[in-house]
Parts: sequence; structure tokens; C-alpha cells
Amino acid sequence: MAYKYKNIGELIADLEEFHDIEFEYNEIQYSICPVNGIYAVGGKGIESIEYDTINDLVNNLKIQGRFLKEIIAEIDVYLH
Amino acid sequence: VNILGLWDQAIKLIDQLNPFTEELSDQEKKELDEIWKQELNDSLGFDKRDIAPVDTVAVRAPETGQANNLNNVLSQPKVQAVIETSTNGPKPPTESELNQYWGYQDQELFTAEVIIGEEKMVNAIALPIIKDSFGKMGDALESKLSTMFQPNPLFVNPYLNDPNALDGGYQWTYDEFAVPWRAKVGPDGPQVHPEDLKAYVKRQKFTEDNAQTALAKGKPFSIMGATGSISSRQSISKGPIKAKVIESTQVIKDHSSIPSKSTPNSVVDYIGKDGKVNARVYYDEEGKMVKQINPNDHNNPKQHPFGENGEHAHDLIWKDGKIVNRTSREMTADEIVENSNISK
Repeated sequence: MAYKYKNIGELIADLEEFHDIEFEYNEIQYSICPVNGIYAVGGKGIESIEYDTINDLVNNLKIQGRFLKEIIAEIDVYLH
Repeated sequence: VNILGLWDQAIKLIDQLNPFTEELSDQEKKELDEIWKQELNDSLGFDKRDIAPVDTVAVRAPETGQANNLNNVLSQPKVQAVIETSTNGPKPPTESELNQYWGYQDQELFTAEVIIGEEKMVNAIALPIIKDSFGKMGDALESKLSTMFQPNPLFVNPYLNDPNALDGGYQWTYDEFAVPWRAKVGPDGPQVHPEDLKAYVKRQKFTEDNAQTALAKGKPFSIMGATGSISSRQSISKGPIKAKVIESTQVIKDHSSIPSKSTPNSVVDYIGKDGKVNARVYYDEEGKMVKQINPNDHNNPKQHPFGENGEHAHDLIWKDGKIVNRTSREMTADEIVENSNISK
């Protein structure tokens, strides 16, 4: 069973520790990879998006038209 | 009896026997560089090289005898396909050849695409006998013809794989720098004498690493007929891959967060949604997470242009008790073997 974030702070904490995040939303898989000084977001059939900071990612990343921070408690997290 | 003392002696003896543990001394490096520099000066004026496409090689064959050598190679039973050969005498390379060939454009060229069955090569290690004349010491991509063909760098002298060749070795007598091979046929095929292997490895450690990388990936290999003044220095023999598959000390299945610190010297596997290992995490002697191995590209191939399926390694950089950076890279040959039990 997937892990569920309780709030965006948990995601931020994971990213601050340079954890890869793999999650699923509406049966589509996504990943956030903190690597080489950037935060790269990818997903099946999705063009990679890069953010320079966690703040930038959290405030701007949209998943299926919705801000990630809005759906943070809905995503299924499989790696973090 | 001092058991620990005996144990230490045994370990030292094993290390001494292990040809992969010995490094060149500075003096040896200097001497070999001088030899190779001289060889370069004495070379045939090759002045151009490029990286060839996978499965394609070009063989320079300036002498009839070497052309015969190529024919010998191509006639070996394990050679399954020859796409093209040409020995048409002096001719300039065509435009496509210039793009296709790795390099030494000269008057006579062979091209041969030769595939040897993958299964026959699984336990083999490429052992080029001597450094390429035209490379720099210590630089894998510069040092050796075989390394120019990433990711398909192996050149095979089939004589060493011929079960009927009881001496197991094929020595290129006109190569004054070749390591003299002494080999025997073992249960897995010809085995090179450890001392010869050692002598070789002292010269070719970087190339051997490179070859192991390709072998560990289990690719089919392009085989260049061993001929010409360059390729003649390359050979192949059976041998061990030194790395061993690593079994994790713990498996986490509940998708909990990967801790930055854990049991010292532990290796922890994290299971993904598909029930397979999605991350293998290595902790150092202080319990700090120092390396991660991922068997896929996280659905982000742009950021993980590695391996066959995006498999890659991350190194964690610590400073003042915190992780301050994380880098990604190709897995090394050893890491590919060590983590082959989590590859997808």
C-alpha cells in the first residue's frame, strides 16, 4: 500500500534530504529527482521539467492541471 | 598458533595472486609511457579517429599477411555473420566510410561486422594484450582502440576461445610489446596464466574495466578480426569478473521514507510498486547514506540517460553532518555486477 503525505512539508523534508520521489496520481506515475543541483520532474509520457529550488517546485508544479501542493495528500507515494 | 596472523597472511597472499589488485608504480608508468611514446613515433602515421557505430569496425590491413589473419578470424566457427569485408587495395575512404569508421584512414581498409553469440561471451573478459599505440596512459578513451567503441568495445581473437586450441593462446609474434601468453584450457575454456594476466593488467587496467562494463551488460559483441598493426594487439580470454553480487542486509516494502542514516555498512533495498527493488541504498561505516543504485530511470530518461534501462547510481555528498548534494552517473562495471540482482 502506498504511502500518503500528510502535508507539503513532508515532501519538502524529503527533497531537502535529496530523496527521489516516485508517486502516482490518477494512475499516472511521476517522479521528482533532486540531482546535480536541480529538481527534475518526470513522468510517463511527460516532458521533463526542471526547477532550481524546492520552493520553486512546490509553488509551480502542476500535476494534471492542479498544483502539487493542493493534491499532496491525494498522491500515492511509492518511493521517497 | 596465531590464527589472525595466518589469516592476514592468507589475505595478503590472495591479494598478491589477484592480478586486479596491482597498480603500476610511477616509475613503471613513466617507462611504459616512454615505450608507447616511441611506438607512437614509429607508427604508421595514423592521424584520425572517430567513434564507430556499434557493431561496426574498421580494420587496417596494410600487409597481405594481415589480410590473411583477418580471413582466419572470419572463418572461425563462432563467427556468425560477416556483413562486409573489403580488401580492395589502395583507395581513399568514401564519405560514408569517413563517418562510419573509427579512424585510421589509410590505403587499405577492411570493414567487417562480425557477431559472436552472446552466450559464448558471458564469462569472458576482453584482454587487449597491449596498449594502443596512439593513446595516453591512464585515459581509457584515449588509450585503446577497443575503448573507442563504446558501448561495444570488445575485440576478440577467436583463437583464445577455440576449445581445440590446447595452448589457448594466440601470440602476435610481430608485436614486440605483446605480453607472452601462457594459457591452459579449463572447464570454462582457455585460461590465461595468472602471471601473464598480471602483466597485462598492469598495462591495461582501464581497458579491462571498460570491457567488464560491456560484459556485465550482456551485450552481443562486435568482433573485429584480429589483424593489422593495431588490432593484433588485442585478444580475449576467459576470466573472472572480480565483483560479486551483493545481497542487501534489509528489505523495506512499506514505501516508508529512506533514512539518511542507518546501520553502518548496511545495504537496504526499497521495494517499488511493482514489487521489485526500486532503490538500493548503501550506508558507510558511520551509517551515512553514501550511494544509491536505481534500476530504472524514474520515468525521466532525460535526467537519467544511463545504462540499458536507465539504471544508474547516485552519490550523496555530506558536509557538516548534512547531505549537501547528490550526483548521478553511470554504474561502474563492478556496480553493474554487484547490483545485477536488482536490475530490471
